[in-house]
Amino acid sequence: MKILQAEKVTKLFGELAAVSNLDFEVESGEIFGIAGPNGAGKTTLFNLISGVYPYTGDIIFEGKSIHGLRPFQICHRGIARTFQIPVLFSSISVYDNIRMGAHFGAPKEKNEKELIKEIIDLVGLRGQEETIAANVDLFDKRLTMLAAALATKPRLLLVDEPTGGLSPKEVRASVELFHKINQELGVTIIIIEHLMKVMVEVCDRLMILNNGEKFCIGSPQKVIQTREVIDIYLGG
Amino acid sequence: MVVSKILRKNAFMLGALLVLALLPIALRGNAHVLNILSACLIWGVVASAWDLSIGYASVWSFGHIAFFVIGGYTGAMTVMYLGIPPEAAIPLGGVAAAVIGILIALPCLRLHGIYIAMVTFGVHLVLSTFILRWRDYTFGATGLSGFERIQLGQYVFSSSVPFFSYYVIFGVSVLLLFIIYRVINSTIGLAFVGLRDSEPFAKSLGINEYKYKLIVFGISAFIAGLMGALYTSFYGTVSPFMLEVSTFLMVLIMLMLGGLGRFPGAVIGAFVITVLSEALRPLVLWRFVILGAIVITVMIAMPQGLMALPQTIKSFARRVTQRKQIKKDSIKTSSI
Ligand SMILES: Nc1ncnc2c1ncn2[C@@H]1O[C@H](COP(=O)(O)OP(=O)(O)OP(=O)(O)O)[C@@H](O)[C@H]1O
Ligand SMILES: [Mg+2]
Repeated sequence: MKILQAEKVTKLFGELAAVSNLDFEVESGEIFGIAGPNGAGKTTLFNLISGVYPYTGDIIFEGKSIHGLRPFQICHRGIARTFQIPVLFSSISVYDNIRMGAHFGAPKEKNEKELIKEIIDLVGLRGQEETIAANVDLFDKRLTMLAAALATKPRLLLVDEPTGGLSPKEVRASVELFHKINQELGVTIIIIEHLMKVMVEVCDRLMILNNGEKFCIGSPQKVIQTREVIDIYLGG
Repeated sequence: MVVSKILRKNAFMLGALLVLALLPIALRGNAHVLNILSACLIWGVVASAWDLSIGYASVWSFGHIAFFVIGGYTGAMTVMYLGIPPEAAIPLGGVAAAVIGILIALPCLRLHGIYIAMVTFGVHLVLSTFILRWRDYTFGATGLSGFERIQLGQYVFSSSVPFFSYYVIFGVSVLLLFIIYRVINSTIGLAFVGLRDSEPFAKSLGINEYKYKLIVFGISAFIAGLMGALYTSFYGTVSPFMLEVSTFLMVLIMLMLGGLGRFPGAVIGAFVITVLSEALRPLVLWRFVILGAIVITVMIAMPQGLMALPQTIKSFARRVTQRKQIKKDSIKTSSI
């Protein structure tokens, strides 16, 4: 079953087509990777799915169009996201950051405290709850952002470059965490990532974007051995 | 157990409340000082309501004093022309300001920062023209006075009955400050802070930014308008004079001095500025120069405002001890 379908999605910034006539589908339950050179339009695509910018074409989530919905409505439909640069609520505690997601993103949830506790344990933030978000390290910032997104109880999670600036140990922990979110919570994941090593370990399928267009799509092992993909990365 | 915890957590606020409740008894008869205290409370509430939008939600509404004046005129005019009892006219001032506040919020929904400031300050500027134009009812620049005041038995709510009036203002102020405090600590306040700290993230987590912008305009305008009506009733007059830029700046300075988004900082700022301004009154125009100099000094030394004073002192003490340590170490190494 398809959880997300993009049909002829196009986003122009003036003359520049950041995303151009893009068609692709994501299967329910899979981890779907998106890679491509800098400026390929990966983050822009996430911004379109999550309702940040208007665009032409259509995006269908669980059989219904989400075109034209505002970000908070898309969240309530069941799509959550993280950001490439951590954008936390820096003046409040890690706990309150996560509570923000639980309270506003999952308004029907009766046991908010229990939900938050489960997510804190899942991502491994126990002991950091009372720390002000501005004061935690980069990895914990990423985890807090992820935890807040998960607290909205999404069925589709969009993660934008979750490993940038992390140590190898933290990258490994992140890979494990994405598997856990996918398997234990049953959340479908779309992940943007530069590290091909991570993509091969995490993704079921990988799509390469270049200049806002779909370049190729397939199993990560195959895709990264394609001559043209290597050329894009080396030649830009 | 729970009670003692609440007491400990809010010791400062409860202590301040107690002092404010008892002070007039100690001051009995000193009408001048009592009226200054009343003014401190009024401006403290107005500044705190402004803090909800500027400090907590980061919605730079510059229409706050306009809301205050709208409340003032509504209070006076409903009593004069519609014969509404003066005690009912005061909340009506709040309602009128809230309605106008929400109407002004509508064109601001998609705007941010300085653009909201410009739209809302436009309303401030238009309001005085409107009052001057609508002379038949507002008496133009002269303003309104001589309307019926609140009366409780032999007591009249007026600046010439300071003791009784202080307690009326104290009661209303404590109630409104409590409401502000509750809003800040509710999930509404959480949404404000979310939109302030990171709007894209907040929206992606399911927060409807339009809804909370309307709420913050509504609540802060309601409180400003209610206080405007109370102020008008207390002094027995309202005029476009209140829209002079000096009032606007004075309240903004109270807020900045106390600390943005640091309840009850704005109340402390209001007390400091009101008392200082009163104390410096004999200096006439020099008063503003000295007031300005004090504000600049405080803001440079403590950009987070007076509410951050304990933290500022702590970090200063830490720096000093570190410096001493470095000195000691360097003496040690040099002696080796
Ligand atoms: N708000 C915007 N206004 C104008 N141009 C934009 C905007 N956002 C992105 N772009 C442009 O769109 C193109 C795609 O940007 P995008 O951020 O989606 O790339 P990306 O694939 O995420 O790159 P990176 O790997 O560096 O994160 C870039 O050329 C960028 O400059
Ligand atoms: Mg990007």
